[in-house]
Amino acid sequence: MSEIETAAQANPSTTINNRVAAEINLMKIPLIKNFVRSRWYPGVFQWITLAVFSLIVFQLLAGPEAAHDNFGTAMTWVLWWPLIPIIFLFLGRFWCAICPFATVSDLVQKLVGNRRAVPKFLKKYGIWIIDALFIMITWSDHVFGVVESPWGSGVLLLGLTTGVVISGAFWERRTFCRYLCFLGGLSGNYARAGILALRGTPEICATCTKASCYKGTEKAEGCPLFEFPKTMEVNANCNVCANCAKNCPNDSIRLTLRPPTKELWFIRKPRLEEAFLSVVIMGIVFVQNVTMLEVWKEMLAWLEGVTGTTSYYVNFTITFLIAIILPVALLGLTSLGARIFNRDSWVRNFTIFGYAIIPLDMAGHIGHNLFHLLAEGKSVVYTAIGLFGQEVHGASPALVSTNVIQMLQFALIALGVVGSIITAYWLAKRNFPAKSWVSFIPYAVFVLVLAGINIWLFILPMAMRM
Amino acid sequence: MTPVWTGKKILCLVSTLLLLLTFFGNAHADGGDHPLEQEVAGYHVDLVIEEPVKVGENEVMVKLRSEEGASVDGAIVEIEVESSDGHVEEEEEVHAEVTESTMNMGNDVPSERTKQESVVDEHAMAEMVMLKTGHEPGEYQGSITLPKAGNWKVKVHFKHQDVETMASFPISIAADFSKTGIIGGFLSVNMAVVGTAAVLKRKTAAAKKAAAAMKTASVQ
Repeated sequence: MSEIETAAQANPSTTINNRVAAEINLMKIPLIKNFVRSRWYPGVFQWITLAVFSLIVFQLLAGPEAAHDNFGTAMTWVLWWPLIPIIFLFLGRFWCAICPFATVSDLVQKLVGNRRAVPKFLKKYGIWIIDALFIMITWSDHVFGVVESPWGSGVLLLGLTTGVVISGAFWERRTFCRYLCFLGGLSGNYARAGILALRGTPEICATCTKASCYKGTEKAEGCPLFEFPKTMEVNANCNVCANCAKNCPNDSIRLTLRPPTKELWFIRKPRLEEAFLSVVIMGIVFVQNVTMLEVWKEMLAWLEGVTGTTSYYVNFTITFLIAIILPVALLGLTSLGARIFNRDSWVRNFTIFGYAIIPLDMAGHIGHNLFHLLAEGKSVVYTAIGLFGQEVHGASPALVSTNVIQMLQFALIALGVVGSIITAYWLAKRNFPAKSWVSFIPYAVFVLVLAGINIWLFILPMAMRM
Repeated sequence: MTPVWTGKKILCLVSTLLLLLTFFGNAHADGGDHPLEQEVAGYHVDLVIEEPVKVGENEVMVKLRSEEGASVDGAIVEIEVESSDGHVEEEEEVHAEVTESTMNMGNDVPSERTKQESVVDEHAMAEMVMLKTGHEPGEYQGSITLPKAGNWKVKVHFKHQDVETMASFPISIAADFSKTGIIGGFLSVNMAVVGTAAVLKRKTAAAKKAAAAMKTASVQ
């Protein structure tokens, strides 16, 4: 065990200082420091994404009816959606800083914002609301065919726009992004496993009484996601907008690189709703995979025979519930098993080790979407050409062969398994030092079972989005 | 001083607006099937399209029966979509979901159709969508894409016992005002929210100003 890790168990705050000292600080590179502290960052990206977003919404609502001809559909579901978990892995929640919805919220806030305090129930139940929204949106996507329908996708974006307009008009900062955005919940979990971290330097922050990073100055607003870098320990709610770096009079803010998943090893305040979200995401990955398999229609026909109804609503909802409940139930059972060995409650076991699923979630999520990105990637170019009245006929949208995609998917799952198992190991070691192995082994088995299901789903042939 | 617009009141207002939007958004929704019938050359042809017929992809089912009412099984059934002014939509605008294969049915058998129809067929060959056999005898199903609103002819070509027959069904799609309504609804809700927020902001600013003036006066 290294000195840092030994200290971690003895005194977490000392450990944080030591960890900070051991990591690479990107803010020491003048080019990066000057850019992120300039007024161009992240504005220059925000305006680009807002312009592209406007074009996408216009295309979805007024462009070609067929998804495979629609530039908005291609940009949203073939390019952006597959890239987003990769962005979270490498840049944390940077996307949230340049997200067009957040920009709309900021604009409305500047124009007519009342900047009221966040309602208490949002603070209390925010993540649960995000969990529920995520499940509901995924269900609606399948039942109403949001992804396959440009119009449906357009209405979804309009709905989200209304959400951020309401939030920006009445509540302070980016309330929607922090407490309501379903993608924000997902990105919060993934950012924990990411390689980029933003923190204050503890020694400097300890002597600061101004809290400009939180309150804001004439240079920039305070943290839009209600974080206080002085006490911030996790990356879940940092969108790397660098407002804190712009405002800090003491040059305390550090932007560091770290090994992927490392933050998860040191989770100090695990929350049930976050653990639940991580395991629900695995269920959602299963649903996405199952319904895009070529055998899905046969499965549906079989289900119709069992339920005695041809209603897609009923049969899909049953499949959906099974896929969502399966990983939750498996984690619950594993926690009951672990409880026998470490004598802690099964709920606490569930809460702590739920975070261990996050690396595998990311791997499964990226792996699934990699199929769409690589097998249909050229459709972005084809539909973009279509905007200028030119049409491409008969050309394959694939960027690489199916075999290559499958190999990449397997490699990703292998990496996810390694990340999840290492995380489970460290969580067991830190939370149950005397019984770490017996606490770890049930979860290692659980991770392998989930990985096996993912690999099996990737082996089966999959249908395309466009 | 208790603010007139509490968080709960704002949430109620917004929820009401969203409910109204949902109502208007769904006001045009309709369900059910849309059967069309025709007797042609001793066959009874039913074309069933799910209502409302919409721009884009539509599931269709063709039911074939003999004059005696017996199901006509084993027929080759194809479907083509033509705008009512007689010009056939371009190939890329008519897609088949159930099968991508097309079939040149008219080449083998001499057609009894008029010269004008034959000319249309020459253009239409590539746009034919072959239907799959359905669950019940005499049923054939697939999907057609209607690229825009307007009047259409859905032509069902079927070949049974080496005899080729065609039935044409008129279909109308009204311009989709519900979409305009939904977009208008979203715009209205957003404008109402922004308007309400602007009024509240002014009131709050005025109240703060008045409170500050009173404080100054009491100090003096």
